[in-house]
Amino acid sequence: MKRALAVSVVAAVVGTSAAGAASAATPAKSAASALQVQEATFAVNGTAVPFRVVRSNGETLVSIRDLGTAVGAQISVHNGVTTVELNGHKVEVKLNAKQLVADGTTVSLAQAVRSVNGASYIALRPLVAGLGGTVAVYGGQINVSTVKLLEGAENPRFAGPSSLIVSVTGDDGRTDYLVDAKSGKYEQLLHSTNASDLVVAPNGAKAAYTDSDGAVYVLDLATKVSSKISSDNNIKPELVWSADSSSIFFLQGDKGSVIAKLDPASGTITKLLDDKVDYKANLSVSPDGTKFIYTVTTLGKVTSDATNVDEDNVSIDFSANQQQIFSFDSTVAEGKPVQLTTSTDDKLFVASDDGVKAYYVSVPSEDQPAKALVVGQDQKTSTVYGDSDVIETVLAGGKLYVLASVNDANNGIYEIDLASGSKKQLYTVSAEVSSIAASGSQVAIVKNDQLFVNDGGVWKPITK
Amino acid sequence: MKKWIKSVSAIALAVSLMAGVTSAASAASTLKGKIVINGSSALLPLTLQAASEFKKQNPKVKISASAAGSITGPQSVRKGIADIGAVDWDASKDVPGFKKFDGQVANPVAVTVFAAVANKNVKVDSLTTKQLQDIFSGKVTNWKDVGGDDAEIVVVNRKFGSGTRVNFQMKALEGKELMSKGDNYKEVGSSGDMKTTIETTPNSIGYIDLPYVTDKMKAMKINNVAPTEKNVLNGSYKVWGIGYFMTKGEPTGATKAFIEYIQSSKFQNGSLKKLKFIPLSAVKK
Repeated sequence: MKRALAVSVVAAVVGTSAAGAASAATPAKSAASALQVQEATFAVNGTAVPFRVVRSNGETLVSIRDLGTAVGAQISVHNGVTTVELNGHKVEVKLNAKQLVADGTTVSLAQAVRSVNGASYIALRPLVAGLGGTVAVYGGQINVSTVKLLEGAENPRFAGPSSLIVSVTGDDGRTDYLVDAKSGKYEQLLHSTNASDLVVAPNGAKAAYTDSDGAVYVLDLATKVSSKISSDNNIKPELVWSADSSSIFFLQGDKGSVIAKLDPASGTITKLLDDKVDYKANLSVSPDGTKFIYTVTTLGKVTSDATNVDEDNVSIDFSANQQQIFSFDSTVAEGKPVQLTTSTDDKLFVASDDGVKAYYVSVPSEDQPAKALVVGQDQKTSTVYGDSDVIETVLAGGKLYVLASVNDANNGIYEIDLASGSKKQLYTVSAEVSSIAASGSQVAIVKNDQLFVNDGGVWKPITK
Repeated sequence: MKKWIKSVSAIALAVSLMAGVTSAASAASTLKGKIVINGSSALLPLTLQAASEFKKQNPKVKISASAAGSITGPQSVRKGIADIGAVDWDASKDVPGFKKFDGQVANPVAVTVFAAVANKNVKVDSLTTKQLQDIFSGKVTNWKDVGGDDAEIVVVNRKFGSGTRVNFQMKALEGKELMSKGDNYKEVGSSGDMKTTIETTPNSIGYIDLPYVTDKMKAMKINNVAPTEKNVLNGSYKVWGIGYFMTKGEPTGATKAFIEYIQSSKFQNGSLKKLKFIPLSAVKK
C-alpha cells in the first residue's frame, strides 16, 4: 500500500521542476481545507522514512517539519517565517507564498506553501535543493540525499557488508575514510604521510598498516585509534589477516623473502618460511593460518662486463623470467614449498581462500583474452571463467567475483560459488566500469573514478 | 522496462550503467606493450612493486625486469635490449667514472638513501668523512685507529659500474679514491651480495642503500648523523641520490605510462615509502 503510494507520488514530487516552471496552480484560497494528509515513504540518506504529504493540483507537497527532521535540519519559526538550516544552508519559507529564499536567493515555486492541520507543506525538490541536497529516483523510490559525497576516492575495500574503506591521496599524504555503503556518509579514519594501505581484518572491525620504518599498527575502525603492535623495522611489503582476525601474516624484507606471523597481542614475530627465495608476493593464508599461497618472480639473467663501458658488453636472458605460484604447508616437518604452475603467462589477482588452491587471472599475451583459472596441489589448472576477456577478479566470502569485458559497450560481473562451481551473471554494466570490490554479499563498482553500490538493482553513487 | 524520468540526473547516471547502453569509451585499460627494465639492483624492489600494481590496471602490458648494477641500465638502453635503464645517477650527464649517455632522457623515480654499514661485531657507531675516506682508500686498516677494537678492517666494495658505489664515492667520500685490492678487500656485484657479505663477515665495512639495511648489520652514523629519512629531509644527512629510469628519448606508450605511474602521487606516497624510499617531492626545493 505504502509502496504503491510512493510510486504514485514519484512523478508528482520529482517531475515538477521548481523555479521557472509554468504554474497551473490555483490560488490557495480555501483549497487547503480540502487537502488530505497522506503518508509516503522516501529514502532519506539511505534510510526509509515516512512522510506526511498532501496532493495539490497534481503535485505532491511534503511536510517541511518531516523533511527537516529526517535530514537533521534545524527548524525555527519567527514572525510567520519558517527557517530550515542544514550544513550551512538556510531556506526561509512563508505560508501561502509561491517562493522560498535559499541562502538569500529567491526561488519561485509552482505551488504556494500550504498549511494543513497546522503543518506546512512544500514541494520537495526546491526545499532539498535549497539545503544543498539532491532528489533522485532509483527503482521507483524517491531518494533524498543531503550527504556531501566524498570526492576523489580510490582503492575501495569492503569493511564488513555495509561499509567501505576508500583513500584520497594528495600532496600532503593519504587520507582514509569509512564510507557507508547505503548513504555515502563518510568519516575520516586516518591521515598519514607514511602509512601503507589499510588492510581490513575479515571481521571488518580493524585494519592493519605499516609505517615507513616497518612498524606495524592496528587501527580500530570504531574508535579511529591506532595502536603500534610491532616496532620491528624490517620492510613488510604485504600484510594479510588470519581468517579469525586474530593474527597478521606478512612478507618480510625488501625482496619479500620470508613469510612470517605477527601476534598483535604480544608483538611476537615468528618466521614460518625462510627458504632464501626472493621476490615473493600475493600472499594468501588458509583459515587455520598454516597453509600459504604466494607467487615468486624470477628475474632475467644479466651478463655484463663494465671494463669498457662504451662497448655495451651487456646481455639479458629473459628465458627464466617468469612469475609462478607456490604453496607451502607449515605443518609439514621439514616441508618445502610446492610449485603449482610452470606456464609463462602473467598471473594477476592471485588469491586463495584455503591455502591449497590458487585462483588467478591468466594473461597469456597482449592479443589473447585473459581467463580466470584455478590451480590445485596436483598442479593442474582449470578454467573458472573464460567466456570473455577478464579484467579483474576478487575473492570474497567463498565466492569469486569476475569483472569481464563482454563487448565494446558492456562489461559483465559474474559470481562463481567456489564450493559448487556454479556461475551466474550478477550484472551487466558499462564498459567504463574499471574495477570492482566485493564483500561476499555486496558488490561495488568503480566507474570513471566514482564508486557505486547496487541497491535494488540500481547503481547508486556513494562517492563523486 | 521502467519509465525513467529524464530530468533527474542521477537516474541518467544509473541508466548508463544498465545493460544495452552504449558508452563513449572503456575505462578498462587497453594499453598494450612490453617493457624491459634492467640496471640498478637498489631500485629493483621499487620497480617490481610498481610493475605488480601497474599490471593490475594494465593487464595487457608485460614487464620483464633484471638487475646487474646501474651502469648496465643505460648500456642496455643504448644497445636496444631494454626500454628502461634503472640507474642511481643522472646518466644523461657526466659523473666521476662515467660519461653521459647521449640521447637518453633521465626520468626521476625515487630518492635513495645510502648508508655506511658494518658487521654487528664492530663497536664503532659513527665515523667522520675523513675516517671514511681513510678506511675506503686503505690508509686506515685497523678499527682501533678509529675508536674500535684491535681488529683488521675488511673493506667491502661494490664493483665498478654500481650506482651505489658512484653515490657513496661522490657524497660520503666527497670524491676521494676507493681502494681496489688488498688482503682485507672484497668486491661484490649487487646490493643483495653486499648485505650478505656484511652480515656474515666480522669486522667488515661497506655501504648499501637504506632498504637493504637489516638488524643483522650496523648502520653507521656519518659525522654523528644517522642515515634516516628524517635526517635527509632536514638536510643533515647528505649521502643520498635520485634514482632514474633512463629512456631512449622521451618515453612513449606503455613505457611512458609506467613511468608516470611510478611518479604518481599515489605510488610515491604509498608503496614507495613502504619500501623505505623517499618521494621525489620530499626533497624538491
